[in-house]
Amino acid sequence: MIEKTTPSRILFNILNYSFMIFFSFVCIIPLWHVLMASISDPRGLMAASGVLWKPIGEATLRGYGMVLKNKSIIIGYGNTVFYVVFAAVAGTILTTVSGYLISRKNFRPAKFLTLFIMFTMMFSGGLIPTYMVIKGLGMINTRWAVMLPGVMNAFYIIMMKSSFEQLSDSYEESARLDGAGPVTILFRILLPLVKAGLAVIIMFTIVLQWNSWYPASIYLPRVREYWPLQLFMRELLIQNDTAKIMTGTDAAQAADYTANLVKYCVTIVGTIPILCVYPFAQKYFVTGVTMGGVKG
Amino acid sequence: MKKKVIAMLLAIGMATSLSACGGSEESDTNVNASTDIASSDDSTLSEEEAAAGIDLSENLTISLWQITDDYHGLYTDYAENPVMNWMAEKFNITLELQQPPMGSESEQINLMFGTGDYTDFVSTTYCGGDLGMLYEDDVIRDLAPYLERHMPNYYAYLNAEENKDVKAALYDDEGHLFTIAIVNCEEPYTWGGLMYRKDILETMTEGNIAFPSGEEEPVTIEDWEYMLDLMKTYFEASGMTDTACLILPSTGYFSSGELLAGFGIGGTTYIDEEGNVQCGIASDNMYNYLVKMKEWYEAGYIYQDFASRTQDVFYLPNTALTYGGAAGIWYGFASQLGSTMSLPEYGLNIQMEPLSAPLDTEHGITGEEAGALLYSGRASVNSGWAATTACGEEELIRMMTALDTFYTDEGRLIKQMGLSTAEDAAGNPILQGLGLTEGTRITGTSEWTDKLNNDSSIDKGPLIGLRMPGLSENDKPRAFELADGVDLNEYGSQVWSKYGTDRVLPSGVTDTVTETNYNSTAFTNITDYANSMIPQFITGKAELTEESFQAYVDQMYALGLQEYLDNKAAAYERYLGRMN
Repeated sequence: MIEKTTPSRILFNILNYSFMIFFSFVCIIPLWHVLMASISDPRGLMAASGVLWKPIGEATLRGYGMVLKNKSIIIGYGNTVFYVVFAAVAGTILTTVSGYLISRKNFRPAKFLTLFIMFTMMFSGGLIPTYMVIKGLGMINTRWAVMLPGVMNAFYIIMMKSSFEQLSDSYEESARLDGAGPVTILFRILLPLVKAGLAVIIMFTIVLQWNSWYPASIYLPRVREYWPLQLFMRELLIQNDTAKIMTGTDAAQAADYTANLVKYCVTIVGTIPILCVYPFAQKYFVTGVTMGGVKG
Repeated sequence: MKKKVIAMLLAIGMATSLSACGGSEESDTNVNASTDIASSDDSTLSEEEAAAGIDLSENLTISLWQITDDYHGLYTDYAENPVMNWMAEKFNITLELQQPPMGSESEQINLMFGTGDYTDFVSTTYCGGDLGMLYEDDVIRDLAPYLERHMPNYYAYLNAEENKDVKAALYDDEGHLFTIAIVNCEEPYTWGGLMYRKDILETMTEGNIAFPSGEEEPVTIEDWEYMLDLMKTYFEASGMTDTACLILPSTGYFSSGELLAGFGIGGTTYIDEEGNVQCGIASDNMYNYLVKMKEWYEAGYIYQDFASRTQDVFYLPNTALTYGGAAGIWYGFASQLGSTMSLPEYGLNIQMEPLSAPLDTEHGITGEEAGALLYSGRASVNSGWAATTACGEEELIRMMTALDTFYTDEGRLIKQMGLSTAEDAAGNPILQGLGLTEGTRITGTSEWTDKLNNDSSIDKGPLIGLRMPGLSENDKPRAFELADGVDLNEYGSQVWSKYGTDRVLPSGVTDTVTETNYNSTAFTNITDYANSMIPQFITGKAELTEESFQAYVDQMYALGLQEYLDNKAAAYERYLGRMN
């Protein structure tokens, strides 16, 4: 159908595009500011205020050098990549299987399990009971304490359940007629049909796990070599804030102007990988978001 | 049927998949095999064994909860600190440190206490004000029964006549001792205070500074107004858009008493000239302070956005202003004094001088009324290590014996200044890596080795036992830290404590459990209210008259100020009783 271009349509497009461009700027400007600050002269940066449109003084990578020289950042990167890959793979498999199971009409405990899972979305035991469970399972100061508790997300299970429920029963029936078992039906027939939702879950899992630092701060107090990147970054940021009040700080360090610079560099170092991955998953987001909205 | 069974098995597998499938990589060392807690009069070591020295042949693993500092990349585990390492080797101890990430200390220690998963020893820095509550909750142990036998040096120090103040600060009213404390042998330096840019005054007067009082440094309110006016003119001429002649904290006052002291009052709680506990922000002279600050704010002397900077801790003001050369007076660190903040390549030649409180001579305030400021005292229960109830008897005795080393003269030097050749400094890998083969200290002296004394690229903080219990003294500066031969820490401290520290409520004043329960809530309510009203008075958002000020004071009393002060007075009386 060819849509007629009416004046109201043109006006709508102008307003719509303007708003979206404005909104994009609002999202991009803070990141641009941080990027410009991270390559600015540190002394000039200390005295700067307002949004930076270009680096202050002579552009320098000094801050990045300071951050990347820190061995902890390299260790943290390795750990975070490991945790992200585990969460993406194991979490996706478990979430998919769970969502499939509770979406089956002929699975008797489905309703009970769905309510059970949804209950966990609304209520939680709190920090101390959770810690005691993790401790009781012997996971304190091991990688499992960070990897296992958050590997499945109740919301994502419900999302997968909804995705599977939207598929026609005829897919499963015809596959069963052809002799396929449940595992084959799930992974070879149904899963390709819910790719969009799956991509959304994988992406959100990756982002969540990439930014995660809290479980490590609670469960890994004695094994810094297992800490993720974000926890080291957080410590670096706080160190630079408190370094000036530490006893024994030499007077010469009072003229250190790199505190702010390091904060900006750390932010970029921790954000760039996710920014690079996001565009590749974008098309799946569009499909996933509009999933169910277009029928036919 | 078969498929249903498989589906059921899958469901069971999903439900149990969150169970641990890996063994614990570390055995649980938090709870020692011996959980037999000795009664207060029971210690397994006999007199003979104590006299002969304890048996060190068996290696003991002792866990310690310790806060994390900036170790400048030298190590990440505090057990690798050269002094800690030396102590552990000498007394055949394997130290297991539990160090929370920076910024998570309070959460971590609360979690540890809440779950009962204690380490053997815990740094008391984040234990909260009243260790008695932890003792009553069976978290920490009373060390008093063990002291004379297993820490004779510490015991002798506490019971010396000249150290009554330390003993009063560390023991509670029932004679319990919970902390193996860091004890200053002398009055500690104040590590920060108000300071001003003297270079601005030099520039504006072409070297002919003439304070109205006739003194060489600003002493009175009038001197400050002379100074602030010059700074304002300077900043206006500079063309900088965001400047501050004087930076106040977002609350409008320094809770430790800076500035307030010039008006004859302290911060939130202080001792007046009659020995009574008072609340500075609710006292009569607070009105004079508010009137003056309001006047200065309207004149443009005070940073116009001070009230919105709630994220600034009072001793870390807006760094864009202070380091950017756009501030005149602020609360800074001793390390910022002198010309250390200068950067000639940017045309910035800053000369920072310490400031004492401006005396409100108009209302008859002389130096005698001033004097309440931040002062931690020589010892505090919140500065040291406590033993938890998870610590076994052997571990307790071993660690106490080890730490007692640092309550001797030689041990003090080791803790304060690090290892020398006598302690085999060359054998320590961290010192070796820095080229400090002769150690950080010259053997038998309180002098730094040549290399450490002259090499500004080496930070001595991670190399000495700053965080360890024991005796300590004020930091001895290295050669390059002196400004024309002057120790800036000492110089700043002299100026900042110019009017004495007698008005400060001693750190050894501790509340009972009942008092703590009341005070913590009341104090929060009182200060939340005051911190909301004071900035409004100063900025003019709330009308400042004698009537409105009285209403403000009445509200604070309605929030429980009188009972709070009564509780503090009772605690102070008990402290004085312990002193005698």
